[in-house]
Amino acid sequence: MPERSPRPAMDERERQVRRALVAVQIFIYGYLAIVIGIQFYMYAHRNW
Amino acid sequence: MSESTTALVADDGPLGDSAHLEESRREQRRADKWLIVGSALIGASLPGIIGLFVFLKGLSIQRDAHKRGLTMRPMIVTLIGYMVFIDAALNTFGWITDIFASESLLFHTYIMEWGNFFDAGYYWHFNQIGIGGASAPGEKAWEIGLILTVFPMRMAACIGFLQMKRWGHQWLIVTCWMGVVIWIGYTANMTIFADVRYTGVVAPVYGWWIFNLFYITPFVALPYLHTVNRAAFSDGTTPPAAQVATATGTDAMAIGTTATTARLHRRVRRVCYGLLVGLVLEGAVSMPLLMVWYGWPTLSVQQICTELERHDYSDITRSCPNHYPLSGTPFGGKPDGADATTTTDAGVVQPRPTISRIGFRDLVTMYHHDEATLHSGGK
Repeated sequence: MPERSPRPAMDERERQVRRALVAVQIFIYGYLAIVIGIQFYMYAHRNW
Repeated sequence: MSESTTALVADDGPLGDSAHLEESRREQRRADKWLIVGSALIGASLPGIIGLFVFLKGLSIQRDAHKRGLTMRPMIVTLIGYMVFIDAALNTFGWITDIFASESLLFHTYIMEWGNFFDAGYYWHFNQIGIGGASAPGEKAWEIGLILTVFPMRMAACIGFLQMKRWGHQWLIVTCWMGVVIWIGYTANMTIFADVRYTGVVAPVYGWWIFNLFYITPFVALPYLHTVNRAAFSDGTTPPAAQVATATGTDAMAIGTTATTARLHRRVRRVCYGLLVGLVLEGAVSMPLLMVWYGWPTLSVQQICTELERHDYSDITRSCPNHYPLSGTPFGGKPDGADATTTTDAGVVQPRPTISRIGFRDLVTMYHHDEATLHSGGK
């Protein structure tokens, strides 16, 4: 297997941006997952 | 020299600097003409099939130019730009037709088919509210609000972004954040009125999410937009050479991508491929596939429309006219369902429709049965 090059060092600003983006992504996809869950729950309990 | 600066230094290219850049620019423009026309046609739904071929021709020009060693716009910018453009175009065109052409035969039929299949907000009491079109609670407010603001803004931003302009990058960020607001508000509204949206539809819940999964473009674009080196986007004072990638080989990093963001941008690019293919196919084939699913060519478009109206309003005397005056709804007069009293919903503030599910080409049998009933005097 080819050897992977080590990940380059990030500066502090890049680290902050990345952390904020991860938090936003968790929030957005988490919200969507909850809404999908609610709708499937309703689908299972209602006569659609 | 820092990594980000290195990524913006021009390479002379195989043709020499200026000739190489000039030919690259010309080929990029040629590819963009095909791509933007294809995107607009796909976004307009009806000519979507034609748009698909025009779009593929543009992609082919772009790929060939890249293979010839020309310095083309980074693929990730092309993907994000056209992906978000088609997303906005499909939303804009679909909602404009729902407001201004809800009784034109083709879109009346298509919108009701789409509604009956995925989201009965576009089927239930269709053309009954004063302005016509979709009657789902809150839907018209979303349509008017968004086609006057975020979607045209986003299309304009995409054009600037594809031209590698700083304002295009900035406005794409703004409109992608608006996209987050839209997704959260819209899905909350449709969950509150989920009975209206999902009762009797062919593919309840899962159908809507599968269809709309390809519209999560703002969430996918934002990580790239916030990590790309902004110097890659011209503010009008950047010399052209500073906007060229370090190399055109397959292993080279694209302009705006640094060593620390390369992995993230590669992932975003892969997701963009999937979303773009999905959007292009949805825009191109939704209408013909739904027509066939409901009964075309055995039934004409007008007969499909008529039978969907009868089913929606529980009234076999209804029919779809094949002409629609320009002065009709929303500019004047009542929509065709305004005075209907035959629907049988439960609930008032929280309506619960009693629409039955229509199976594959069931409409053919239903139409002939209703016609026979009508001709026998309703017996």
